[in-house]
Amino acid sequence: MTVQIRHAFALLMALVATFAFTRPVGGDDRPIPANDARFTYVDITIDPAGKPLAAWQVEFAAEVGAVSLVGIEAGEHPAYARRPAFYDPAALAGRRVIVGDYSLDKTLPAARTRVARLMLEIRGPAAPQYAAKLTAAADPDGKQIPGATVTVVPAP
Amino acid sequence: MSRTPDEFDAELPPEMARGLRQLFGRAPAVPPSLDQTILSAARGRFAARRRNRMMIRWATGLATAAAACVAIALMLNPGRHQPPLAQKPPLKGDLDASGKVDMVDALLLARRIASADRPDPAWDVNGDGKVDAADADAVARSAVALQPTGQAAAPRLPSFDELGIGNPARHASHPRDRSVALDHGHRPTPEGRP
Repeated sequence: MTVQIRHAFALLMALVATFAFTRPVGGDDRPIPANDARFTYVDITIDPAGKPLAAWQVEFAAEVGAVSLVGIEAGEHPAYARRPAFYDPAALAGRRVIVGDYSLDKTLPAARTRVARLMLEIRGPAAPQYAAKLTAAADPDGKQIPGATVTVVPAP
Repeated sequence: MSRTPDEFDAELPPEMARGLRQLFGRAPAVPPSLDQTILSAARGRFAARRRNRMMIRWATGLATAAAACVAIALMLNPGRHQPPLAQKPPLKGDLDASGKVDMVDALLLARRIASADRPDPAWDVNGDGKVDAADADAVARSAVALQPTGQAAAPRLPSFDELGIGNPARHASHPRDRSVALDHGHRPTPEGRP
């Protein structure tokens, strides 16, 4: 019986060591020098596939790199240029945010348009990678627009 | 340093040594078949014990490996073991009962408020005593809240049934020409709250 206990203990120790020394995916906890920070922005653009875009909502996340959201600016079309998109202030200094807006304007964008600009702080040398998911795109009647797409355009 | 029986015999008196040799010097005759029988029985017993030990060892190893596989699978796929969506309580603020609070809910409420000649006081979802675009904005803030319940950004929002206006998604053919421009001067505060 001693041999079995010894084998089980060795296997348990191996498992503990495996998980103890494995970094979580996407988590980079290494300390970064404070002076190694730079600011940039990314544009969130939506192509409503020819339909008037009366409401939209996008979930944005910086998947790689030490990235913090520091601000949000309005879109370029007059329907979405009067105010910045809605967002949760808790997303500031985080790497994930949900942004969205709606408009009752008569004239709405029907082609690709920038709906928001996200101001970001990037720390460290790693090139950040972004992901965006269009969770809502609706016409003035509140119907979802099939074929609508979202694109993240980094600053040049 | 041990001594051999012959060295002991040399120290004994000759008569005693002779007598002892007569008593014990003759080894009993054991037939070879008896030796073989005992030997094969012992080998069989040891082989059975070795088999049992190997079986226990394999069973322990397999059980440990299975437990490790289950643990790894649980750690890698935590979301699959959450209760299904149907068992979750309904989201607060899901005005059109679509299963989520999103910007479409805010748009539909804004359209209703803008197109109504006499807005129903029950549409005052933010409780400021007025029915205006700020009520739709409250729904919008709830839609973008990072918390699933939306409680951090807005108070609990009533459903369309509670507001007495039905589900606008089922009445999506309202003429847009009744819409009036809302006051977009209301911007989200720096805290994102009204």
